[in-house]
Amino acid sequence: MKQLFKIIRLLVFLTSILLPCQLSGQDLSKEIQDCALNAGNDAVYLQDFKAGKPQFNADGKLIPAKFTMLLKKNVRYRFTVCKSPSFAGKVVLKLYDENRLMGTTFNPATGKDYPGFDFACTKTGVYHLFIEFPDGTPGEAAAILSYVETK
Amino acid sequence: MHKLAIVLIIAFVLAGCGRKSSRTDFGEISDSLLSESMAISQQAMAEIIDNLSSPVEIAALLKKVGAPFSQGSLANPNDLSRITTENQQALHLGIYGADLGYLNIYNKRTSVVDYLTAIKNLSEDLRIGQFFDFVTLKRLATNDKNLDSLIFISVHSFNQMDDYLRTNKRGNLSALIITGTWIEGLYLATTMYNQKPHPDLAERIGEQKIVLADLLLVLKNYKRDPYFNSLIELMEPIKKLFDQVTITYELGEPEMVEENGMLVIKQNEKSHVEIKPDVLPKILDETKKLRNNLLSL
Repeated sequence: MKQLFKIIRLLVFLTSILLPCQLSGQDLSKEIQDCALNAGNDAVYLQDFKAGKPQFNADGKLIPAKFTMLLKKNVRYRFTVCKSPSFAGKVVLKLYDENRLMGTTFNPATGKDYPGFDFACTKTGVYHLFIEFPDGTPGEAAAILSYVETK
Repeated sequence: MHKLAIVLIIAFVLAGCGRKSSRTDFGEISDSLLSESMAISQQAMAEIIDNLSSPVEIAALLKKVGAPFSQGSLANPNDLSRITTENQQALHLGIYGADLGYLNIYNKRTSVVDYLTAIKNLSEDLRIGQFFDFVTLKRLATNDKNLDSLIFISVHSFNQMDDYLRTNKRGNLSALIITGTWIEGLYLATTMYNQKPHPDLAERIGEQKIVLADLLLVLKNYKRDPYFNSLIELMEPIKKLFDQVTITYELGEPEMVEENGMLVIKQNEKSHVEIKPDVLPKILDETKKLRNNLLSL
């Protein structure tokens, strides 16, 4: 009987550790759906890119999550930042064409942060999207890629 | 004995936590040829470009240029009896996925349920049905509202299936889904071009040269599988035609502007696609041939 209580206590302990992780994952999935559906009346969801498990370089610096995608000419794309409500940190999206920065959700000229940006693509090709945590604190975040309907 | 029980409980809980929600137990792929080439293929699949072939984008372009809806151009979703191998199932899953995207963009909900049913059956055969929320999709498809949700859940389900396959040593099936989506999208674009020869459509068809090159790179990783080998051989004639398409680039600097509170990036660099007048009709014909061959592969 004593042993059974021990096992129950252990299960309660493990659940208390593991359940928040599970809920947190579900939280982001729900958030992705909300973000995708709230990206604008003219936006159609294409894909989401989750920052995933944080990775650090040899100096202990957080490595941005990188995604490679094919974007097409004459399409207007929308990139939207999507965060778990429990994550208060800052998230920046950066879009590169090869090694050239196309745009970012943080405008260095004005110091202003944006929840996303539209990319009016005029060159079909391979592009790279980075999800960065400028505070150095990783969190649950994703980028939503949408197709913007234009006349 | 009690210690053993505790260890077993911990192992059970931890194993359950690491796994995504699943209704079935996933075994190893029996084909030894595939497992031998798995290490290289997994790396190749990890590097595969996202958004390579999007049913939404091609369908949206067709709608934008005013191409009429054509139910007759879609693959028949009602005869799955001869689609028996995993390779066939994956390829057809991609084909029906592209058709579903086309139906959704044109908001033709009466036919959507047939395609949802075919996709459900194929995804269950492939043991990835847990990512396809058939009940919700069917409810949305039979309701006049919530088109955004219908598109989101459809596309998101495919993305999840693709992610799962890639990360669970089944990248070969992911490659086939992408191939099916690609060929069906190209087939719809070329069929509609015959009816509505819009220059934007011709350009999009020509750009498939880039997609095809990436797709073949991935498929060649699995060429030790006879099915993939046959597939690559079937794609050779169209590759030769796309080799004759020229894509040039005009340089320009990007600029960030704010429009109505929204940050907009204007690229100012352009790509130009040149397809010789005698090559385009050949691509249209070859696409039709390839797609019909794939339906029976």
